[in-house]
Amino acid sequence: MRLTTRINLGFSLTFIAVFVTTGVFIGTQIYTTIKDQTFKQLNEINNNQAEIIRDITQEHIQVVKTILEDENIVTELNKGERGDVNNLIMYVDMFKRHVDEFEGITLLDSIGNPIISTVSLTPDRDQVILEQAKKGTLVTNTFIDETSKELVYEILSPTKTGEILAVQFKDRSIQKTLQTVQRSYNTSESFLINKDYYLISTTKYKTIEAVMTEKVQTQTAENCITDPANISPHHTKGGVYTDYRGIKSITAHTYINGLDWCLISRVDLSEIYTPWYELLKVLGTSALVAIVFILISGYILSKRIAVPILKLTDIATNIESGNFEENAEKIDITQQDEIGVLARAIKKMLINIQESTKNIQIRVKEQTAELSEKTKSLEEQQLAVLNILEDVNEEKEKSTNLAQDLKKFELAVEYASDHIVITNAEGIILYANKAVTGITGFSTEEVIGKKAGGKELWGGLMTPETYKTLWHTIKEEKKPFWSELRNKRKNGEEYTADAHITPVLNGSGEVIFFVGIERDITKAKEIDRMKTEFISLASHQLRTPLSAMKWFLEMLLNGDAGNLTKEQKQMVENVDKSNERMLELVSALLNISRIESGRIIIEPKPTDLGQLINEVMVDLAAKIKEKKQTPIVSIHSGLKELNIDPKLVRNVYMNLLTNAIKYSPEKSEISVMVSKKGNEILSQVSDSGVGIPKEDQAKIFNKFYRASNVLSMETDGTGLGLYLVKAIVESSGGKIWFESKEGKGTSFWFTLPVEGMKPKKGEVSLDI
Amino acid sequence: MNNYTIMVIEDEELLLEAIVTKLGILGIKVIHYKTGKEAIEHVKAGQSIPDALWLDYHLPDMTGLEVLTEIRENNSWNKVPVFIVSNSANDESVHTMLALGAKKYILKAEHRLEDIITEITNILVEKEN
Repeated sequence: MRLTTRINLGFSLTFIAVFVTTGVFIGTQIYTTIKDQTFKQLNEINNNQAEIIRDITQEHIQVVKTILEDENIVTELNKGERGDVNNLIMYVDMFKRHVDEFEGITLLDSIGNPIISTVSLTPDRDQVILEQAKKGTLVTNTFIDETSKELVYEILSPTKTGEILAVQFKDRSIQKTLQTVQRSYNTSESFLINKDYYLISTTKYKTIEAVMTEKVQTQTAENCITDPANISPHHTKGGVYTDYRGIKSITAHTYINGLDWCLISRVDLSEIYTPWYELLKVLGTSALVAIVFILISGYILSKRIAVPILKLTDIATNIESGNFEENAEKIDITQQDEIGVLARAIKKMLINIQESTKNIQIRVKEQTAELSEKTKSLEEQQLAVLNILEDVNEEKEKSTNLAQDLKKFELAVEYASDHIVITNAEGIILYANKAVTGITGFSTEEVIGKKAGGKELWGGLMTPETYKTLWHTIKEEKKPFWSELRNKRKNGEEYTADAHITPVLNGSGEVIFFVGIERDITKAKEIDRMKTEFISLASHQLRTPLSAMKWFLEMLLNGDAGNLTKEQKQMVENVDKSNERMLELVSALLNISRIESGRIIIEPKPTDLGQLINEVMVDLAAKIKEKKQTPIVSIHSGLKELNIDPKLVRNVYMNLLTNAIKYSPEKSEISVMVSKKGNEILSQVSDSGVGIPKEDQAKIFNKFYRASNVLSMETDGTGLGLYLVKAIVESSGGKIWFESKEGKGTSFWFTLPVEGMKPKKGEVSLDI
Repeated sequence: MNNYTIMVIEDEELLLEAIVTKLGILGIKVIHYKTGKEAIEHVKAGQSIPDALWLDYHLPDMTGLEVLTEIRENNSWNKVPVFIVSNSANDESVHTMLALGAKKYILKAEHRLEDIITEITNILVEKEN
């Protein structure tokens, strides 16, 4: 639909909708108001009429009461058939003078036959009326006086003698009252019906013949008679109903108590709405005129608004081509209203877009590249996820197997021969295996919840320093701690434990558990001590006879017991050599047992390393000279005195240099170099000897191990020298290593800490 | 060297024999005992004072340290140089003995007899000069 049509239709329809809605609303309001007002008026009239009718009948009832108490009348009536009618008429006439409509009286027997009457009227009286009258209920009966052709109604009342007195009244004043409504409208009327729905008055459209012969069976009549007090919410006191003639009417009704009459007033609906219909006609005509006007003005207005917009639309459609500048020039709307402002804004916008499009194109290019990069990485990730999913299935299978393995581990820990406890980060025991009880004597129950190694349990013998180191290592450094500890059992007996405490960390590196494994090594220690003691003792015992042999051989070879032949001397020399080797072996064994037993003393004192090496060289001078070797000693010039145990360090140089001399050819060079490297003093002992075969290199520091090449070459040697050297260097806080090529030579390096050795108390030193 | 007299206290028969033989060959007079008790009795009896004392550490009745302590109580024996010639002694006692005036601790197994005697006589010569 075109814009102009839309604006026009929108504009017109809006106006028409408002117009029609307003019209309908006003019309309905007027309709309702007219109806309500009419009903109100009618209802008021109806109520007034009913009031008047009540007054009239009350007056008549009063007359009946007075007659029944009048002595003359009563006396006359009591005579019954024998009564004098003329006397009765005379007495009744006295009332007539005072009451206009009073007509006369008739005495009836119990079944309704007249006994005596002042009037000639003979209306029908049905048995129901008579029965009610006998009971004393106020009963009325309406009929036509055939003579005067007037409506008469009588009030029936019981007498003291059991008969019924009927008192007749002309109905003129009631009928007159009913006429009053006719003054309001042309079609308005009021009428009365009795409780059997019979008309008991004339109507505008019913003559006297209809009275007591025609019934009024309308909804209004039914509402009035069935609900006299007007209680039911379904019954209004009136409204729009169809009347007895089948015409739509506005009605109002009132029930007159005591008489059981219903007063109905009504007016034709058509009469009331005549002015409303007139108004509707006028309104309809003016509405048509207004719609035509609206359509025309809508068309003009839509043209004015739409044309510039259509122009802008055309340009906007062309913008798709991308030529913003060209389109911007086409905008020539000069209007000063909002559309003009819009047009100029679009023009400016187009120029800006042209600018930014260029920039956007560059950015799009960049981002596309970036996006393709990301897509690629995403694809890779997807692939990785798929791989992970595959792995998850495998893991699931693995975890089932793991659960079984875990059970095995649990059993292994529970029944392990080593004492195993697991504690929280504060050292409180959470778990203890069976061996804990076996070793310490404390039951699992006694142990759980207590501090591991506390005084209450097996601890309390640790020195404060060890205790400090332990906690620092496992809690601060978060590293495993190993030490030999003295513990005590529940029975107070002390024992030595080889303790390993390992922290268990969580993902963020915090300690969550400690696992403590301890082995009772008391027996092992004892055996070890006995072994060392045995070696020590045996060596000592060996030394004495060996010394005696040494000295006697010395004297023999010296000729103290007379000169030996050449052959004898050779033999004695061989014995002496073997004896020397035996002594050396015993010395080495002794030293090793001392180091291994931990009985060795480390006694550091300020030592000039250069001087120490020179002393060693002096001791070895004879051997060097024998092999015509050249010793080279190079000491770092700025080397200060080192705090080391000279006996131990001397032993190291002695051993390394003895080997170098022993396994190097004649006239070769033997060198010792000492330098400082960072926090370490580095010593190098080099030779150009037989070297260590590759296959022997890994075992060269082992106890009693000798390289294959020297075994065949030189029988002298214990296989203990390098073992001892390594033990000394490492117990001094240093390291030792070597490089060697078979047939070319060997270099040994070892380090000593610049700060020197730590003193250690013990029982023995080397070479005693 | 004939002028020197060395007292040797050594419980091991064969070792003592070697020492005495060698000293004799070298023309040095020897007074020798096998127990500490005998040596101490000699001191207490005021018998001749040797130029040097050759003392073993392990003796059947007492240690070399105990012998040394006893002898040092006698003032006239104060200046006699003492040489501990032994195959074993713990470090502490060696220290104590050196502190008590022992001249030297010598390991039997590592020294030739002649070297030990030369060492002793060298010191005696030095002392004289």
